[in-house]
Amino acid sequence: MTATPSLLLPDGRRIGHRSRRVPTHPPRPRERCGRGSQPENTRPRPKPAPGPFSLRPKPENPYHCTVSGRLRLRACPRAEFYVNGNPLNLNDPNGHRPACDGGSDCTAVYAAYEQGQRVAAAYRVVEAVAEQNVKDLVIKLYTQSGVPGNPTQAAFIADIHKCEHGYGGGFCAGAADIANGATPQQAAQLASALCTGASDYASANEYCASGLAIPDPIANGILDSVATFGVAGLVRGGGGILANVLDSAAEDANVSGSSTVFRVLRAGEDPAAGLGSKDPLASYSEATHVRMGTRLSTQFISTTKDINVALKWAAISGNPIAAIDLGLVDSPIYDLSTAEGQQMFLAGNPIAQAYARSSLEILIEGPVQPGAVNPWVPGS
Amino acid sequence: MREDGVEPLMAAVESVLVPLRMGQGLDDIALAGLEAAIDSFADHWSGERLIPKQAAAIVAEIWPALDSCAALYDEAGSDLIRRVAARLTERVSRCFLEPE
Repeated sequence: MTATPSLLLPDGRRIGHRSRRVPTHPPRPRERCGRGSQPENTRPRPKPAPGPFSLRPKPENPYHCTVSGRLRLRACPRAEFYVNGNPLNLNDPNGHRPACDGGSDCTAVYAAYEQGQRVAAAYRVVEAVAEQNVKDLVIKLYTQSGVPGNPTQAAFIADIHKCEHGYGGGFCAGAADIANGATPQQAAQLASALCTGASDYASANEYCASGLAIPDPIANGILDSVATFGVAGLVRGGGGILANVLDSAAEDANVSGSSTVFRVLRAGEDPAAGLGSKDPLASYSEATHVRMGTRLSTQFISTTKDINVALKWAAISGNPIAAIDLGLVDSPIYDLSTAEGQQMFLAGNPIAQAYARSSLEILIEGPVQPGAVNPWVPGS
Repeated sequence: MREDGVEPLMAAVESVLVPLRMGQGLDDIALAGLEAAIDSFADHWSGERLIPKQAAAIVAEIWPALDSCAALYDEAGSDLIRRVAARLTERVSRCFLEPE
């Protein structure tokens, strides 16, 4: 994992220390938002524009999108997200941080800043996808699904960064496989193979440019599903996008405990107040909770790694889904989605193991702080 | 595959309970398969005084698992699941009959 410089804020929090959100691949100063192949050091430099908000492209700044040294606005929409979409009111001398003079609510400001970073990261992913139609597709998907107002989706896509150089290919492969009838899990396996196998960016590009890239009819189908089902349609139709992310989430949960999991909220649960178990003082086993949690008041909160599981229950119950960032959860977390976890926590309970396996279940013992919960209504 | 009938029994139980817990309702075909698997298991061990512990754990779990799943459904669904649970429990009891 790559350590990154951090900025200590007045309230004691750090910005930029969450290295898991930071791509570990080396900087890619060339070919941002396109196939410009001119070496950086031979590009004609545009004349700097005067004023505090110069549009002069800075090759070292990942938020700028250039083709052959020229600013490209159309293919890089919402490039101002590094100031949370508000370049007039937010002070952003380096393109990285909003202003907070201490008199306002700095927590909200910095939260918005982090959100902006995530969205910006999402667009960096889009830039990295060499196949232009795929890139356009993703932009369209975001536009239609309202990602700028949807932190969960933005975080999903930002997580694709973990796939390093293979993410472009991973997206193409995953989306194409989904479109060809593969399950998200199968697509995830393929995306994972590409992520780990395609260590060089060129091979990912080649994969994307091959016949496996998304043809227009399939792209249109995905767009139609978005139009019909909203974000839920994006999740289902664009499973290739999420397949990659879910795979990353699975790795996170196994390795570092940092990933996004999902929970269909009970009636009366308010994500703004955080989440709590039915009985924090109970002492049931993990197996008992999995087997009979609906009947008992236990100390656990059930979540799932699989957005499709949550979507099914949300469709049945009509209740909203909350996305929980496990990296921000202080309570103990039990990953029952893996064979190792099932063996460790559900030994001797084959039915509980089958339940946990089918739901990719993760238990949280105790409260979940409000900051770790993002409410998300399917179709919103 | 072991020949004591435990694995088919477990597979049949899973095929009923997992979809039920995933909100997909009762699968009649899977339910018929589970009833057949229970009968087959009971026949296989009919002359024995003991059955495998793993099998005992599975069949003993059927009723509470179904009862727990019933809470996930509306009243009609819950009633149906409980009736099925009662029916399966009667079948399971055959597995524990003492040999004559």
